[in-house]
Amino acid sequence: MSKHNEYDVVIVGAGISGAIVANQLAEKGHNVLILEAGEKKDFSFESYRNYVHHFYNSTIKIPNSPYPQNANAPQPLVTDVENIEDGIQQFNENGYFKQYGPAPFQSTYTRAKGGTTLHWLGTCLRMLPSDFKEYDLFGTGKNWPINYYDLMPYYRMAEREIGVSADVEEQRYLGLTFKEDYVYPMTKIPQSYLDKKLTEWTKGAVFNYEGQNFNYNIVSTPQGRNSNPNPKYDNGKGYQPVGAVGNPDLGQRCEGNSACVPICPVQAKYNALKTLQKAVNKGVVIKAQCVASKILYDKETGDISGITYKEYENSETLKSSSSCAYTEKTITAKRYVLAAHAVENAKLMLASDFNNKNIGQNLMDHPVLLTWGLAPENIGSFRGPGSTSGIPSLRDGSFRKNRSAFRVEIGNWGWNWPTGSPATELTEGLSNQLFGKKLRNKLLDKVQKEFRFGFLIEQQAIANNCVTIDERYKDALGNYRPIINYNITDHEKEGMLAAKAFSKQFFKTINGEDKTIYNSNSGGFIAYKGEELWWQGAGHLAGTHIMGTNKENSVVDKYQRCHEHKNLFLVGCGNMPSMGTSNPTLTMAALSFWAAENIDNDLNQSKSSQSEPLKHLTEK
Amino acid sequence: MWIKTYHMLATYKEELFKNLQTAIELEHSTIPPYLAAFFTINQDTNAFAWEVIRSVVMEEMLHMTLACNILNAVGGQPFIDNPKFIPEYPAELNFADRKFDVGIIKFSKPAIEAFLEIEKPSEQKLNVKGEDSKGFLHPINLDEKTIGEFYEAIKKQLIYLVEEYGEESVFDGNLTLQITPKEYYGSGGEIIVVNNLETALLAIDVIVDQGEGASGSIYDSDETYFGQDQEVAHYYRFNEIYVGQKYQEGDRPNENPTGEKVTINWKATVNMVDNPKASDFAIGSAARTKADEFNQLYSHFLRLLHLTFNGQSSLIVKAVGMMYQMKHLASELLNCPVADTKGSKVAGPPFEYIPLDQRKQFDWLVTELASELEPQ
Repeated sequence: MSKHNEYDVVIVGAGISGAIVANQLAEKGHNVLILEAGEKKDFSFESYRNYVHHFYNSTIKIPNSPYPQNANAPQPLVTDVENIEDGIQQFNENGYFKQYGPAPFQSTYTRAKGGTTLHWLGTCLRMLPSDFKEYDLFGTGKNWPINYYDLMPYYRMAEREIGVSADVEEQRYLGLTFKEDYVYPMTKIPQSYLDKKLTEWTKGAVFNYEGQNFNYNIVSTPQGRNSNPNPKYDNGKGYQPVGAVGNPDLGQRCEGNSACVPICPVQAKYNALKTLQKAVNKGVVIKAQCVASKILYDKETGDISGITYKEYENSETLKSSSSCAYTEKTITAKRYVLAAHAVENAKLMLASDFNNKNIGQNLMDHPVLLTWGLAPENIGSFRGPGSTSGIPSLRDGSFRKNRSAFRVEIGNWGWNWPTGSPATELTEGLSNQLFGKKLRNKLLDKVQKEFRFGFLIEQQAIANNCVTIDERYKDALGNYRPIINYNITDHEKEGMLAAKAFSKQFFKTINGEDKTIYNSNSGGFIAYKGEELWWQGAGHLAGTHIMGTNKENSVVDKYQRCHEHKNLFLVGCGNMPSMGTSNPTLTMAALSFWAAENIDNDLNQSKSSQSEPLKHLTEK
Repeated sequence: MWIKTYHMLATYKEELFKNLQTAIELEHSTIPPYLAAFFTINQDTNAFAWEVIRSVVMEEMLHMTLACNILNAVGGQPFIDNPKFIPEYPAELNFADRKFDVGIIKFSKPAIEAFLEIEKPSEQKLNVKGEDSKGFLHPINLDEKTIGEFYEAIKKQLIYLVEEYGEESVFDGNLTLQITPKEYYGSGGEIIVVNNLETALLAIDVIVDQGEGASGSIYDSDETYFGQDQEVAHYYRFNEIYVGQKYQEGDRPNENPTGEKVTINWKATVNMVDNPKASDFAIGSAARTKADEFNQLYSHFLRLLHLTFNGQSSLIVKAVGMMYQMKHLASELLNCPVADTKGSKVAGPPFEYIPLDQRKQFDWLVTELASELEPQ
């Protein structure tokens, strides 16, 4: 192996974390290479349109439907989850994951340049200050080795990079503070008509649960989609919205295409291709169709000596497990970064015989309890972004000792998620012999009153929810398939009970009709304390290589560096010891900025051969 | 003495107002033909042409807005909602050296040929025929050879008036009438607030350069003025479609492009009838109902734009909403077979003016317009 490293840094994964780290380090003059498992794709708009086209042609419009399945770098699909038979959740062998349950793991991610930001909704909530010290405050969950105030400057960087639209005054709740005079880059995305009507109908009402009152305040959600630039941003310098990659005039404002998930056709919603393109313009090299398979390290010092990857030639969809042509290569650099996704990072470290017991453990998601019903009048469903508001009052409180907190997401697209409306409504109308004007009126009348809640239930990090590997389960390139063990705790079920009660009271308050009916065969169905519950995955996979204070309780330190491998940094949601009730992308992006700064300092220090500690965190 | 001068300024201004009104109408007149070509191709089968026409038609909307900003800045008043505002298609465009028809026709070689004629650059920066140094011997009326020359004459008028009467008396319009760059519109360039000679000339340069290219170049000046990506001007982009090849760095205005070849699928179009009129379609047919509705929508839309450019600038957001409705309705029309053609052709958007007193109430009408239609 050559002593001379062509690259200062090699990053595995061209998703949002890898893109941010690459772009930041290139900015500082470092030579950066990204290995990407997904297909070779250029930055043209035509290339992106192919995804849109693939979406149009898909029969089932699941989150990964625009992004073709690739046997060389397979991805999990929500349709992989089986039904429940005789009260027992079934697991099939068709999907990428090998699942042992007992609960189904229903979340997915995308293995392509740009990663899962290609199909995220764009929600950009900061975590609450209390989320960082949950164990200290409530005796449950885990503490972070850094706090909200440490992360504040990096949250601001992430909000700039993603291009977040929000009204900062509305976001000051439950202890969230912002730097004096701070405003978001763009003004808030207008709240939907539904949001406004619900605000009107719940005025003055409260949700009473277990003797405590919670308000129904409906608050607009910070979103990574383009709106009008706020002229006050950056001390009056303003902000220039970033349009589509390959067509920058397009997508500088959200157009209300109502297809955010699985694909924004104009890229008004942020995706990591935007950051990647900037990085490439600064000299970052992306090697696609290269799947990292093993990290080589010195058993004495722990230092990483290279990353072995498999470069494949074609990206045909192959069902067989032996016919992919690939070349195995090894690459070296001064520093290494794993940004391949929580599950993929863990899998790669396990495949490389790392001996930290925490790797793969503490797998988290936000189980999403869905409820749905009809508003008392037309509320114009199926318009605008998927969700423009939420109800934050149950995100924090002393009740977290006993049950999970949750955030209430208000869905603008009718019953699309829980029932497949409006397509299913059409089928139902037809089967009732309705046609022509009668059918149209019937559909309009019903569909326009539909709305749903998504309750994002906080899930705690526990060792038994984990990713492992097994020689018997490999993909077409001979890489491991992730094995998932997953369950929902009573703490979380108690949270779901509260959420279900919230939904019932809410529909009563607004004189709406609660139409929530769960299919007891559907994956995610449970009966708990006499109440039926049904939850889905949120795609918020986190916690498989958490940060902490030492190698006994964690994989990385607060600098995002591996305890046992000083030239290896990890980024992504895997580093998060808890997620609270925030969709994790914004926090992950903030941590990636923080990691990039530490890697830069580390590289500079080794250049000047001093061994000062990394910069200390503080901001008040 | 100053009374006479003031009187002269007012007379000159009347002339300037007319020319700027002509500019607004000229910019608008290109939009329905461009939209017809745009609506009749598919984003996926003709990706390149689709994007060219999309960006050009958006930039024509910018030009119309800029012309309105200039007219408002000099104290004039844009008239958008009047019977003559929409030309009757096919419309004959009369330049000093050429006449040609522009129509509502589907995406095709003849359509692009007409577009090339519209956007044709001036051969040289020249003295406009029959014009004195002030630019006022005769009304402009498109006696020029190119749109660029027409605007050149307006520039001369502005410069002359400012030299004679001072900037403040020429640019005495109400600033609150300006549409500002806060209003995003989705293509190259930016809305310029016009409040003096410098900004007025800049606005005109943007209009001309985006169409014909900055002098002696295939590129417009978006990069120079707005720090945006380098963009090939309209004439040359239409030529890229016409010859099926892109320009590249170093290509010259009077030579064909030498860059990457692009696929233009001339056959993958919606077979729309030429210059559709609502009255062509049988009463009671879907085509007729939707064509009537489209004309109503377009006329209401012009009213909304008129209000927008005459003091209610925030209405532009609602106008954008109506543009989406228009696109939707146009696509419905393009799915209505026309009986006379035995179904071989489909209807299309007619863009015909409906007088104010014949406009109907629709539930999609924005409040501001609906209240105008209430019996007084």
